[in-house]
Order: sequence, then structure tokens, then C-alpha cells
Amino acid sequence: MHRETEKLLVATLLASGLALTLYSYFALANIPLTALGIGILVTAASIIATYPYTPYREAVQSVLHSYTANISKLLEEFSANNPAFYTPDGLVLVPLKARGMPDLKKLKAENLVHSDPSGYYLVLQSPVSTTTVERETDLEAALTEVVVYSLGLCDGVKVVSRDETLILEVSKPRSFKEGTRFKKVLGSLPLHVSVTVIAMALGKVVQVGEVRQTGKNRVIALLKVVEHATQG
Amino acid sequence: MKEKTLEELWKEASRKEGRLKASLDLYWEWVNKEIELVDTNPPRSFAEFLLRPDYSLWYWVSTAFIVATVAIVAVTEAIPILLPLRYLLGTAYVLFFPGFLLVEALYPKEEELSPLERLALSIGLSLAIVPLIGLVLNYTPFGIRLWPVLYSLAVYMLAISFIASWRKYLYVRLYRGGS
Repeated sequence: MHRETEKLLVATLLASGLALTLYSYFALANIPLTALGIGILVTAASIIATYPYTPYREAVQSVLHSYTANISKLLEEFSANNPAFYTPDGLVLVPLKARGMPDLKKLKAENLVHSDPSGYYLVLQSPVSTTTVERETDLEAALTEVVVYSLGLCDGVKVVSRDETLILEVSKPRSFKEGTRFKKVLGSLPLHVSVTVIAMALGKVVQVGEVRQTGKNRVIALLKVVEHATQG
Repeated sequence: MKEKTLEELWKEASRKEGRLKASLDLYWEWVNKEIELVDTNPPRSFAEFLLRPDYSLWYWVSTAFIVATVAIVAVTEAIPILLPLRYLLGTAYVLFFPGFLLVEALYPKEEELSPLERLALSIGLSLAIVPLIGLVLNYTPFGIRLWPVLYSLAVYMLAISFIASWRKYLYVRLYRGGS
């Protein structure tokens, strides 16, 4: 459920529960209806109490702003142009002078640049840790947990698979002032984090294909699952 | 490599194993995710989505069931022989369908819940929804009587099944490419 929808639901439950409780107790003197009103209030309270909201979200977003700025500078320095590969280990390989698929067997996370017969790749660590995402979980649930609830990068995500392609929809993504090169190589930050989560959850290498804005505040990205990348 | 159509696969298998076994084998292969069915021509609008039985058969079956139950209740007063059928449909009408349609609306993606989870939630939610509708009816001039309960449940189920269809369509729209 989208965050906006959840807020609306809680607000509706609170308002209607309060009105029903007060009206049925004082005006109607009706016990079952008062109990129903209290029940609605308890439901709203439970939703608020169990809302998976990270208390340090503002701090996290500030760190992500810095992350975006730093990575943008790095991409600019290396003149990266091609869409990155997202590995299941939370690493992002940005092709610098590369053709074909990277060989992940020889990949060392501590190196800044990875080279193999297919070319050179800039090795970045994604902002999401591998422990956050369980492998082979429901993709949409994993995405909602990390991208919507924990980091608050957008209001909702939907994902469907078609052949070897995943279609990802991100609703109301927050802007992190990503540069043009950042968007070209990694997508926007919400998309970048989403693809990282998808690669981790699938346990496969994923690459961002076409990205387009459809409708108001809705971004759709086609993601390619790269089966042929040699994994370590 | 050109992917095979379901018809080609079925014809190939039915030549070796017979039609029924081929159909069953293909069904289980699909259930076990050994084969993936890809719709090359998904619906382009909500109206088309509703009219295509491969997407909205459940919606029309539910609607037909609701209409049939109301009709059976209406005619059993004149034709008492249909009473057992009324009991049968009435049980599902009260104890299964209100919850089932709500579950469809809350979890529109098929893979979100297993069939057993859907069944359990459908029965549980039906037991929660019907008394709430009864409680509301109690404070209206209609009261908790046969026809008001029957009609209000029908209106609730038709509305919620429409919402469920729309939410399912949003995923089909995304599958098509989001436009």
C-alpha cells in the first residue's frame, strides 16, 4: 500500500472512530456503536504503532544526498556513460571501457577499478547492505521494506516480470539532485537503490534499460536480468 | 530462439501422451514454474481487461454467483424444491465470497498469497465483514432482515470486486509497459 494511502486510511479511521464513539456514547447512548467506534480507534492506533518508519530517516536521507554528490563527481571524473551492472553482493559495476558482460569471478570488492577480458569497470558499493535483503523473497515486499519504509525514497513500488525483463514502477520518487551522468548511468537514486535491492533479492546481475516518466510522479524502468554474466 | 506457443507445446505433448495427460502435465509445469506463460498481447484498456476471460473470469464468475444467489433466494419461495441449492449458494455467499473478494482487492498479485492462505483468509474475513454489515443494518430503518442483508452484501461484493479488478489491471498495465 502506498504511504499516502496509508496516511489517508489512518486519518479516516481516526476521524470516523472518534466521531462515532463520541456521538454514540453521548447522543445515542448506544453501547454497541460506542464499542464499534472504540474498535475503529484501536485499529487506527495499531496501524500507527506498527508503522515501519525508520526514526533516523532524515539523517539517512542526508547521508544519501552526500552519497549522490560523491558518486556524481566520481562518474564525472571517469566520464562514465553506459548503464551499470548491479550484482547480488551489493556492488555496482559501471562500464568504463567495456564491451559485453563483466566476469564477476575475478571481481574484488576492495578495488576501485575492475578489469577483465570484457574491459574496465568502476566498482561502487551500493548504499544498501546485503544483510537488509533476504534472497529469493518476494521482490515487491523487499522493495517496499527498504525503499519505501526504511529509506523513504518514494511512496510506492510495483514490479512485474516479463520474460527476462523486470518492469519497475516507482511512485512519487524523491529528488536527490542527481546529475545527468548519475541518471544516465545509475538512474535516479530511488531507482538506483531499487535495482540494488532487486539484484540482491533475485541473486542475479541486473542492468537498467529504458527509463521513462509516465503520468504524474510515476517513473517506469525496464530492467534486464543478465543471466550470462559470470558470477563468482 | 523463437519461444513456443502454449498451443504448440500442447499439440506436441498430446501427440505423445494424449490430450488429458498433456493438459495436466502442462498445467503442473506452469504451477511448478518450469514453463512461463507470456501474454504477447495484454489488454490495452480497463474495459478490455474486464472483457477478456483470461484475465477477468474470476470477476464474472463472482458477479454471476452473486446474481444467481439473489435470484435463487427470490424464486425458492415459489419453487421450494430449489431450497437445497439456496442453502448451498447461501453458505458460500455469506461465509466465503465477502472475504474472498476483499482478499483479491488487498492482494491483487497472484503470487502474494498461496491458494491455501487465500482460502483461510477468505473464510476468516467473511466472518468479520458480515457481522459488521449486520451491525450497520441494525441502525437503519431496514433492520437485519433477509432482503436488506442479501442486497447490502451484494452491493458490497460488487463494489469490492470492481476495486479488485482495477488493482489487478494496474499490474497488467505495468506488464504492458506502464502506458
